[in-house]
Amino acid sequence: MDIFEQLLGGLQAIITPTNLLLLMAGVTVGMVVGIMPGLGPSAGIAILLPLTFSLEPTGAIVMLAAIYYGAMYGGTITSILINTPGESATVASTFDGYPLARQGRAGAALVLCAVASFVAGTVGAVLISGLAPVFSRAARSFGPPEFFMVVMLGLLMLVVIIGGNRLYGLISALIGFALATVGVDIGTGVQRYTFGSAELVGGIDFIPIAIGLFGIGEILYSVYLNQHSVDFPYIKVSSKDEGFWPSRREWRESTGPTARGSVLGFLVGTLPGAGATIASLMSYSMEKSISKTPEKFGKGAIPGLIGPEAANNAASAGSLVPLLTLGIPGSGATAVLLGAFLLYGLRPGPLLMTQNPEFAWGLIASMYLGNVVLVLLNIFAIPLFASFMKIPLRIAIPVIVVLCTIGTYTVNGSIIETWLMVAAGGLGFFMKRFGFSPAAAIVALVLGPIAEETLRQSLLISSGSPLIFYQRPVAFGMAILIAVLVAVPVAYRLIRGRSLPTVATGDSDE
Amino acid sequence: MTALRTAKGLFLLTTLIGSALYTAVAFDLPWTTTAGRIGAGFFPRIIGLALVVSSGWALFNELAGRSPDVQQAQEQASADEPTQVRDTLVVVALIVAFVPALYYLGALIGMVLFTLVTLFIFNRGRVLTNVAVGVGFPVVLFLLFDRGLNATLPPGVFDLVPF
Repeated sequence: MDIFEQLLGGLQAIITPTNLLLLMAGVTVGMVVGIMPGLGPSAGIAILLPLTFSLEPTGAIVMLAAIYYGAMYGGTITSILINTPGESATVASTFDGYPLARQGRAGAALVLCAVASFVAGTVGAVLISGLAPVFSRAARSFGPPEFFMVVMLGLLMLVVIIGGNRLYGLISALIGFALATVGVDIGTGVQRYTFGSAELVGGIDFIPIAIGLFGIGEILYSVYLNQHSVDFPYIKVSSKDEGFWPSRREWRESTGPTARGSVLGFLVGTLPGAGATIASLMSYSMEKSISKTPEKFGKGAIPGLIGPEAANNAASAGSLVPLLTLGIPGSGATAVLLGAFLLYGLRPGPLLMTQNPEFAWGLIASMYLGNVVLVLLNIFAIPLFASFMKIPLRIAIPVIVVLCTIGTYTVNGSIIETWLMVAAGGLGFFMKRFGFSPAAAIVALVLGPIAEETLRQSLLISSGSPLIFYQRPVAFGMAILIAVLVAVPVAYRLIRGRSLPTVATGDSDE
Repeated sequence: MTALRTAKGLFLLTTLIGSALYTAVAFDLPWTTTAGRIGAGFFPRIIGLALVVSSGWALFNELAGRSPDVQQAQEQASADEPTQVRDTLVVVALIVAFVPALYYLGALIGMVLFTLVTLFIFNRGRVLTNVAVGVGFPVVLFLLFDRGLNATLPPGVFDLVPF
């Protein structure tokens, strides 16, 4: 069955009034989540996940995925209008976006970004349509040793690439693994870390931890930084303004960066552990290095805004490739998405596209539709969405806390899980405060059981010998890559006497 | 900056103590089963030992004043930002009070109380807005979850809401 037929099949599966409504609700909510500084797609998906429990799995996942890429569009608005990125993936949009807004070109900047995001999102959807089946077929030969290595590689990349301190990233991941061991050990039936509590026998659900780390933790950190006392002075934008629409020159200037950013962003997004933040920053560097007028960057250069914008949207499509075909999330947001898949009884991995093709292709098809809805919303409703920024954080605090708490409670009707969420919120605050990585913790929490299961199976196959990881070529190749990822920063430090640069934008939220 | 380092040191020390306790429990779990396969304690011991080593190393670096360049730049930037410890503690106290309020008073009353109190503390002077949001939002959310989604909400010990 060729790709086009499968895509049509996926489209048929999701073109129902309910699913279309959920898609539109998802992209709208995603935009709003993206607009609110501090709340990113991870928090948005985690907080709104409990709302989707009564929905059909396909509709629920379509909505959650729509929140994910909708947030990428929304984060750009705050970057341009108030020089505050909505999430880490839109940091690069502040470099030239805000200066453009100060020059009276806010409307033009937002319209150009909307179109670039649409093109990049569509390119990403096309590429995922082509690559996902290829990855899936390649991964069908993977056994437990390969999957264990993929899990380790993905987590290590997240720890090594993102964050100011790799040691703290490693500690964060280990905390996630430790939380994942609570409950009954599947292999032996022995209870671990339950301390006689019936509530903990089933393990620690990732939802309260995700909501606590990303939702409550973020709120506490924003209050700590005094953002609740500040009314952001923002630049008003209206479609009636003279400079709202881009000029011909600006359209021409944006075509190259859009194309380059789309391809670069998608490729970077497919790497487990990399994501939209890295993609957007790489695109900015690339555009500046190939520009004939690099001195204009940082002062309102169109390529400096459009390249990263295209890259971050294409990367969010790219990051779905390892998620769907290998079951490996590369970020906090995709880890929460993976958790949602598992909750609905869907096991992402090589068999997803053959066992649940209507779901997999439906999700990909929904990305095409979602991009169309987003570009229309972005162009014609920019002033409406921009007005959300007038809502001060001090009003949003109780709203977000109540949503988090009630959402957590409704998952299993458990007050213990609600307290776990509060504790995770405290942990999330301290993690952000001191440079740890909540994203690495949640990825490890979701992948921990998979890692343990595949390790157990691998050692069962090899009768306890760890040499199995060296005897199988793909697993051995990944082991080499892991060794390189560990050795390079150490060698760099020894040779240069300082640390290898990282994407130190705080925790990657996308 | 010193206060930050002290706070971070305490956090790392707490992590180290927690890791040690985790590892101690892990060593009470069997390493292998009677059939010689991986036991329940296999993974936890590896994680626990790695946590003890890494958090111990991080604590040592912190006490010795050795941080990567990027970390030092971030800490300097953090030290320059205005911070609101008091307000953060107030929000924490409100959240901690909200959970038992939910349990004992029920979802609707708990949400209304929490939202109103938080707004009147942080959004002073705007009575109309605070009342509108403080009552309106919880009611909408209650109806959404209870009626729209048929979700389980805490009824409260006294089940004060008749509908």
